[in-house]
Amino acid sequence: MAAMAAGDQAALFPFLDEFGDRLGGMVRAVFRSVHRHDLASDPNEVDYHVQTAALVLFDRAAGWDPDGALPWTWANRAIRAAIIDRIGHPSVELLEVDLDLRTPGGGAAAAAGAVADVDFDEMATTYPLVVLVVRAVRSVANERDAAVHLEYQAQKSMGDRQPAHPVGDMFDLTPANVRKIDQRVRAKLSALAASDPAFAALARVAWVEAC
Amino acid sequence: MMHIVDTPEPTNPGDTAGEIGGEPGGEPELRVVADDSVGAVTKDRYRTDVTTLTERIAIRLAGDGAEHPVAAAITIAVRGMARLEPGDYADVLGLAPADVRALEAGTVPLGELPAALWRLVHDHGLEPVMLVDLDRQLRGD
Repeated sequence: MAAMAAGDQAALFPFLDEFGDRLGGMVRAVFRSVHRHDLASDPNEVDYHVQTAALVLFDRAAGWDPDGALPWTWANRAIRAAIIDRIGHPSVELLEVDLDLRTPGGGAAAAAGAVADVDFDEMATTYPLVVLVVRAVRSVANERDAAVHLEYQAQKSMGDRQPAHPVGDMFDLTPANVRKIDQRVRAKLSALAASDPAFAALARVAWVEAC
Repeated sequence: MMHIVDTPEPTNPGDTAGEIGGEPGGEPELRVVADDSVGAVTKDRYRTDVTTLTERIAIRLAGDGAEHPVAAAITIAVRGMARLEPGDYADVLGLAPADVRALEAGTVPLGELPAALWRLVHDHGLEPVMLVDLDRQLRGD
């Protein structure tokens, strides 16, 4: 650490010889903490990030106190940030099937000539909560309103700041109508979640909870 | 002009790595040991991908404005792997300490590195082709 603090990058090599295994354990723990078990079991990925950790320590070596914590404990947050910066934040792999375009004849939206980016029926085959949402929406709303509501929430969740506009175009409705339909469906979902234990889990859905 | 170069991806390095040692007070001697795998933890040392680490050092040196960062990184890497003090390192290379400092400062092109250093590059398991390629990228060839 003294050599690294002096700016000698050659010191990285013996440092890794001596402490690479310790850094490796830390790197694997970071991977596992973000559910990247695939990376944790890949020696090349682990080694690359062991080097990243060593480089972080190199950059900070001058500030390390030999009487304090171990270097990698002392720089834990910085090392973790560097690793996360490289591998990205925790996420679920985007499946192509989730974005599969809805085929014609698949409901009110399709009948209206609309194309939905998110197919809730397809997602329902994978995610139990989506099954519940779709079933609940279709039990409290007619076919068109259910499609409007789901499309509106899908657009909104994808970051569209004015989701009522594209959804209105899809269903030949004014944006105000779209928002009203969505509001009514959400209110009914909220009531359903409160009154029917079979749908209690709906309370975990953000847009229902917000009613 | 600084060229943008992708950070090296994790790679699987060659099959050999080397180590230089020496008796205290005596002439440093070359000792080559086999490398089993990247990131392997043996009973006494961890084996990292030294080529990737050298590339990363080179990219950092390039960012700092070194004229020949790959040549500098190779010189630094070999000294680090050999665990030699600069003076002993100069002796091994048959150079004056000032010449080694110049190499590590990145003032000497890759093609003009001394033959003794290139031998150590091979002995330590550095992959010259990858390093030459990085040198070309950094020079914008």
